[in-house]
Amino acid sequence: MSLTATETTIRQFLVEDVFYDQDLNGLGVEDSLLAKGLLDSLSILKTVTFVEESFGVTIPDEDVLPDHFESVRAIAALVEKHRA
Amino acid sequence: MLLPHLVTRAAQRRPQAASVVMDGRTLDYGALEAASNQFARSLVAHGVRRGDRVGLWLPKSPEAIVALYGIMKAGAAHVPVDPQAPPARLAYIARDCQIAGLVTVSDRAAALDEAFGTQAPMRALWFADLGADASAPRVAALPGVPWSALAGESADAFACPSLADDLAYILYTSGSTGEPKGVMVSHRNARAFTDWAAEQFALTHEDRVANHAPFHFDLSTFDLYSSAYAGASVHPVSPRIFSFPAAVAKQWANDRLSVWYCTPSSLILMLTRGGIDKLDLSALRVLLFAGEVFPNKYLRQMMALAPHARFANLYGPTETNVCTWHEVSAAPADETPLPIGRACPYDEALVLDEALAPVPEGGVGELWIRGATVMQGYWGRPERTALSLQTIDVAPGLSDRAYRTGDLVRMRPDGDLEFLGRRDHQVKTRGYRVELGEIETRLASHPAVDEAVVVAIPDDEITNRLKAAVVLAADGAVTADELKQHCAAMLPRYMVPETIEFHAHLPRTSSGKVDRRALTDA
Repeated sequence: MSLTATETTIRQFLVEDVFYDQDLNGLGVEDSLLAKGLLDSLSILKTVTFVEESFGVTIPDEDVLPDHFESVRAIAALVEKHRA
Repeated sequence: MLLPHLVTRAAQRRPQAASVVMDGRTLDYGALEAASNQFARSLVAHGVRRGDRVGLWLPKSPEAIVALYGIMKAGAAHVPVDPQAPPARLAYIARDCQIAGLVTVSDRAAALDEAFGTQAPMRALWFADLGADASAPRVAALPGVPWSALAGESADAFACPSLADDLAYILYTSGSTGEPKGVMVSHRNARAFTDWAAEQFALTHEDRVANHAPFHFDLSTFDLYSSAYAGASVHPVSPRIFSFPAAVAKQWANDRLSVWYCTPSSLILMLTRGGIDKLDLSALRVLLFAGEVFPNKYLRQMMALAPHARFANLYGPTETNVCTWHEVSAAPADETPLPIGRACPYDEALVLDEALAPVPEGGVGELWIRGATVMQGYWGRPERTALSLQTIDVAPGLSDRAYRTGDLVRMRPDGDLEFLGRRDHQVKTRGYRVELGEIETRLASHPAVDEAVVVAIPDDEITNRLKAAVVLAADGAVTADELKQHCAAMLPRYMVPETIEFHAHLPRTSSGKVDRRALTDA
């Protein structure tokens, strides 16, 4: 599966700076982050800060919802939406 | 009457009234009573007996609540383990209190197999997610019971073999010497608080009570058992939305919940990032908070959103559950910290000095608690229990067993207690209780680490953030990320330090102790 640059950056950030778990090196961009219970509230805050700083976007609080954090692909789509 | 009998009574009074409402499903009290009877029989059929322990390691669900009552009906104590905890931590707890059974979900089978190998203490596993046509996965060669198998058990009333002083549950908390310790709570202990709270906050069968706290966190005892006492419905937050303040706030407003009990951190995130100010909170009748200090500026904001509701600050470590409380009758006008109030009627609060003598009015002392909610001890740790539970003089010629909280307090002239801090290295982060020593022990267990100190950096929204300062061994080489992974393999996520700094030497005070203040301020 080909990854966009945004997806690659977000995926790398999650694996290295959020999950603290080498077993997740194989994380796919469409794998559910929520079904696995991988994101806690602090991880989500960190991720929002990271994408805002990395991509120069502002993610409004009302968009920080489960559907937009379902997977790496969903987070990337949220970033693209706010870049437009 | 024991905790599960509260459900039995509610089912007799109003069998069709909602007991658990979650993810679009409603379980009424009749169904909760019937299913928990079936679950109790299934446990007994697999050898679970009075006094046994049965673990729960699964995401929150109506089935998890059925299991919890079924375990207690069977005469066993339930041991809810953080569903996010790494398998190694579950295995530690399971072996520590020798659980006789485990309730889980099938997609955790591989992790369980790896965590336990052939050394599982359980006699069987129950899979809360498996339907009739599924065959249960094998874990450590143990029998696996799919949920659908419960249909084969009788749903008739089940005679619970327990007494009120038998254990209802064991909650594991962070341990300063590196290992979690199990707080043993009896039915009588639990009901002293949950019955009182149901009466004090006038819960009725019409109330819709939120359940935000996870089951391994004692705030959930109010949600479950005070609701059952009153026949109210309990509304657990779905695991899918739990970490999203905007989604939780919206659910609470949409479900028109009337009673909430959670940590200040959770409320603050809903205020700062959840858009709760735009929602209709007119159904909210009672808002309770506990676990950490609620900064006045956020409390004022919250009270302005629900001016018609009752607000109360509840206080108590897991070892006593709620033992003091303070009703907030008006929004605080200044920044004077909110008191933790006065003892609940079933407990007594004692402010003592180092010699265990009462501190004169207005002086600072350590808070000791005696009374009905004081725990039975730490599972399998008589020495540790003896340090925390001591028989002390409580009045001239009168002694009683009391729990030493480790919290420093002052009694104000008006009789309210004010929390001032800890006399040890226990901290709160997002309402979770963390012993810094447990994290330090884990870091120091890495072969590349010579010395590790963890400090708590105060934070406006989540009370504290954790920072580790590490000195490497002479030939040690490890990265911060690798050390975080090392922590995450044994500790819950909220105990993994956010920041890890490497130092050639740790700063010392003139007495040679590590200068934690310097590390905190750096």
